[in-house]
Amino acid sequence: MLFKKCNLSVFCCIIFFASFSSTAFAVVEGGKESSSGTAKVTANVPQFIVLHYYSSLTLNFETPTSEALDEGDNSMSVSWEGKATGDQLSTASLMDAKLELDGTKTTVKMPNVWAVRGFSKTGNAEVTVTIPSGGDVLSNGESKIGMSNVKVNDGKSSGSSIKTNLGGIAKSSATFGGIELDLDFSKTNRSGSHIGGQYTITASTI
Amino acid sequence: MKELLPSTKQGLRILSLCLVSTVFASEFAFPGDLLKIYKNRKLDEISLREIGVSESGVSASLNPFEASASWEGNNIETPEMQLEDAYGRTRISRNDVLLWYYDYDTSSDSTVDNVFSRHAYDVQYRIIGRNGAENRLSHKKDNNSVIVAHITEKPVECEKKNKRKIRCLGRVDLDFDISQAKRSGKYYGTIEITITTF
Repeated sequence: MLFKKCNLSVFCCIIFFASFSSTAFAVVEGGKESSSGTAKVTANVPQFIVLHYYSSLTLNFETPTSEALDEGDNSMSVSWEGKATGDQLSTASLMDAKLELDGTKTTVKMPNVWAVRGFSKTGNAEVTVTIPSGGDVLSNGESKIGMSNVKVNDGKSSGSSIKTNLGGIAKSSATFGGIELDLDFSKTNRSGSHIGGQYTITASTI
Repeated sequence: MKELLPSTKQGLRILSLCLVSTVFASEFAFPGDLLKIYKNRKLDEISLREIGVSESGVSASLNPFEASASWEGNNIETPEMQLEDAYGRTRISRNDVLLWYYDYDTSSDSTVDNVFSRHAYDVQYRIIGRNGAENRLSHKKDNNSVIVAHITEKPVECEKKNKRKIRCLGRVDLDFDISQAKRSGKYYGTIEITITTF
């Protein structure tokens, strides 16, 4: 008989256990019944990147100050036939003007000309800049301006390709960056608009 | 036999109490085997269309500008970038998300209205991110990358499942703001649910 009673008790326990096993907490009080539990929720965000850029920009170089440079006194021998000999102006002898570009290139730095935002696995993006074929010369007839050494920067790093922060989709979280490039005026002989220079910015999620 | 009979009766009384308790619990309390709270709710992936784009990569051209440049190559004064034309929505919703249901075992002539007349629900919800912050879902690898989440309770609806079962459904609307999210991938959180009936 003891054995049977035991069986009945076990059976009851199973019923009670089954009744209260699957929720975290249950209370009965004053006619109210309360139970609580938790559900884990998962949301999945896709990869996405927006690159903001200027499709066209124009650089207006300041007008150099006109100068008259006095190269000093000179005496030349002149024959009766009209030929003159003696010291003449040459590259080596020309005095420096206020603007001298010999052997140098002008590095132009343009801050905040691109921006990226979006989502990536790492929270970062790779931004690269290249000059497409034929985009390395700005022309005005025979007058040329060479363009080279293009780099992107974000205030922390600079190069032809950089890893930068991708701060999310909000405009307020966008990462802004600049471009710098070298311009060579050694084959430039005309004033006015020189066109045809081009760079390509590529932004990728990483 | 004299001893056996009273013991048998006692055992049957215990069994009867157990069964009564079970029936009572199914009607008026919260027996756990009848209340189902979903442990995991994987929401549909946020699509690019919901963000407002058709491709994962978008380039947005800004108005051309002219700037003065010096021969010395100093920084050029560029205009402030206006991102007004940019794409992107930050509000995403998932509606009618089923979080729990309650099955009532009822007599065959019970109706949904009967159940409604006997039970009033008060349900409280709370969303907690993995970083412990309320109303947040956090990225699996970066607790600083979060989705702001708000939950809106929907009225409990009951439906007759079969002759002896009426099921009451606990659904919610979830509204997400992804403007503070920095990474793609999965974001996790926990919804705490407290259900009280009167």
